[in-house]
Amino acid sequence: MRVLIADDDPISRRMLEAALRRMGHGVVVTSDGQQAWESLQNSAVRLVIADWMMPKLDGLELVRKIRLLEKHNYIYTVLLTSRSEKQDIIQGLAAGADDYVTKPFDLDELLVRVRAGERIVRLEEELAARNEQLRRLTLIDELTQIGNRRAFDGTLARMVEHCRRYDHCFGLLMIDIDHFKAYNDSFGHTSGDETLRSVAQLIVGNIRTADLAYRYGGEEFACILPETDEAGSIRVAERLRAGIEGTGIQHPGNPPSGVVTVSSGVACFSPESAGSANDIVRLADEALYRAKDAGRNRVVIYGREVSTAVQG
Amino acid sequence: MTTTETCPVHLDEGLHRAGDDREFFRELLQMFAEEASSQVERLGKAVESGDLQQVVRIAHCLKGAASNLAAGPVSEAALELETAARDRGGDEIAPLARRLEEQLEVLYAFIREFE
Repeated sequence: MRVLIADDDPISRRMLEAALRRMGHGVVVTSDGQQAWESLQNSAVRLVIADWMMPKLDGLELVRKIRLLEKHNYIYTVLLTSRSEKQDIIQGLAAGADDYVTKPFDLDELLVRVRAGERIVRLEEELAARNEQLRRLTLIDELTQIGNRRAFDGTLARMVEHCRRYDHCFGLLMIDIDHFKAYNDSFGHTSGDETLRSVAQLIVGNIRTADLAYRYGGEEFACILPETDEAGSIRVAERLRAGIEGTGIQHPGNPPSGVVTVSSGVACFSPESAGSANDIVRLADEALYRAKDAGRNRVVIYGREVSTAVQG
Repeated sequence: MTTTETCPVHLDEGLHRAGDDREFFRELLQMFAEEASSQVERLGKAVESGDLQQVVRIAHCLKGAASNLAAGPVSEAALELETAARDRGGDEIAPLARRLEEQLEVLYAFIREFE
């Protein structure tokens, strides 16, 4: 654990540093509150031992500032003080200190208090890691391991907001596997799942680095293409369509090709056309239905068909 | 070594504070000696000019540093000076400052001998 010491007494600093190093901690040593505050900005300090009385920024103010930090993991704070009146202790804890030690500090006492702090810090770290893991789980589709509908909705909303504010555009593709029900009926759901995974991988492998792919639901996928206009979006959609057809996954229930194919609806967000996230999804969805109506295995933008498979 | 009352450092306690590392304790004592001699110089000037706030500050620092090293007599003399300068002021200050310096001299001698 990385521990920061803030104390203007060089001997006290040196003793603390040596004791903490003996315990195996990494130590950052500072001689006043201001210096401590600056060091906290660029180091992963998890526990602070601060003298109450210090020049520039005292321990109490330092603790208050630490408690207002939001980006960091929890920082456990211990105040060192020669004040041991009940009022002082209450004031220190009320400022946000987790613990206090009266001076001259007893090394054994301080070290067990540091150990108690370390337990809290570790618990908080575990909790934060577990939360991050859960957050990821809620955003990932378990079957295909790409983003799920919830992730899509979140990103799309942010994208619309961003593009509206900064005058940028982006493309949206809605992609649906043709006659997927028939595929499941012929080969069973296990093969169906396998195919969903393959299509997801083909999509991920054929989009550009900045593009984002999601499983929208069932056999429907969605791609968000940042900074991409109509022509660019159509190019990506067509590459995906051709790539999936070219893979040649057998699908007798999908004439005339007899392999797995997809239909795509394309919509573009531009600041002039504006509209909400729902509007752009609706446009892409409408285009997708037109692609289905027009015979599948093709890309359609706003009802305008832009590419069709070469009939072979 | 003299009797316990006049011993400038409670050795067992001091060593314990330094993690029972004699070499480290020696380093801390030497740090103290350097730190204290510059403080004493400033203390002399503050007493002369009657700057009581400065006397309180310096005495407070010396008290803290000495108590970290279990240097009881220096710590106590510093506390007396700090209290007097804060609460009463006046004629007591100069004699109490002298008393603190005497205790410090005893401690310096101990530090020079300490191995």
